[in-house]
Amino acid sequence: MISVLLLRNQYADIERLAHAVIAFGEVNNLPEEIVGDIRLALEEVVTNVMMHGYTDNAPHEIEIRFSAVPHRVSFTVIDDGQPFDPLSTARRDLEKGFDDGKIGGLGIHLYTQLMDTVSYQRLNDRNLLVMAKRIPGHRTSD
Amino acid sequence: MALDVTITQKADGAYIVSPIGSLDTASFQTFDQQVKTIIDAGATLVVLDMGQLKYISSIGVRSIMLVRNGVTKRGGKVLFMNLQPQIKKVFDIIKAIPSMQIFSSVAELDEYLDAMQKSVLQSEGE
Repeated sequence: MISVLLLRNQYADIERLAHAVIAFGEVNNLPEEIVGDIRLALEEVVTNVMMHGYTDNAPHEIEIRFSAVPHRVSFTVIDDGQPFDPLSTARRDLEKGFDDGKIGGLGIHLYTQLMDTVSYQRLNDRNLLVMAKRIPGHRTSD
Repeated sequence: MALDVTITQKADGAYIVSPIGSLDTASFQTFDQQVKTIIDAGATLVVLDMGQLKYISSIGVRSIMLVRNGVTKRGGKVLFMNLQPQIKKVFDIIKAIPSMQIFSSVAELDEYLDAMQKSVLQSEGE
């Protein structure tokens, strides 16, 4: 089952994302801890897009696609912001190391740790970030 | 999923800050504004009681680090209390609490404060 959520590039919409993740968790019988991980990972991705993705002040739409199959959930975040590959940024930050002064990149580090796989591609002038997480012992309600 | 912040003064310059709810993109500014008042007032000991914090994102961690920087800059201390598993997990992943002391109860904290005040009194008496 795939469901789609459209957010505006406004921080207020982060709360709609949280509600959508909780609903997705309920429909698919996901353990509470996993739902928390998903919420955090998606919020980090979407916050980064809202904060750094756009050079104009125009309204933009961020699309999030939720998918669940037995033992696995995956999410795709699609935005029309500037090209941005978070994975190459994350590698750079890890090499430099974090300290109190430089806390950018923490979000990327968080979601790459919370998810099992994260991949990026630029397609049709859009950023596509696909994240997946294995859920041992899980069955969807479908 | 909003945030409330309660601040209690425990002693001169010592405060307990309790974020209640979610410390995230939607709420970090509320938190920053509230703690700024005690940092501006010269707080030298800030105890972050995380017992009722349900959720934190990296922007919330950034806010916590700003508190720590503001207080430690003047030789003060920031301590944690009642860190919940889901919050600890985030700090663990980003290795953000290397040297911060964590208390599991108010009683433990009170003991610490007592001992600290006694040592202050002793050094003043010398």
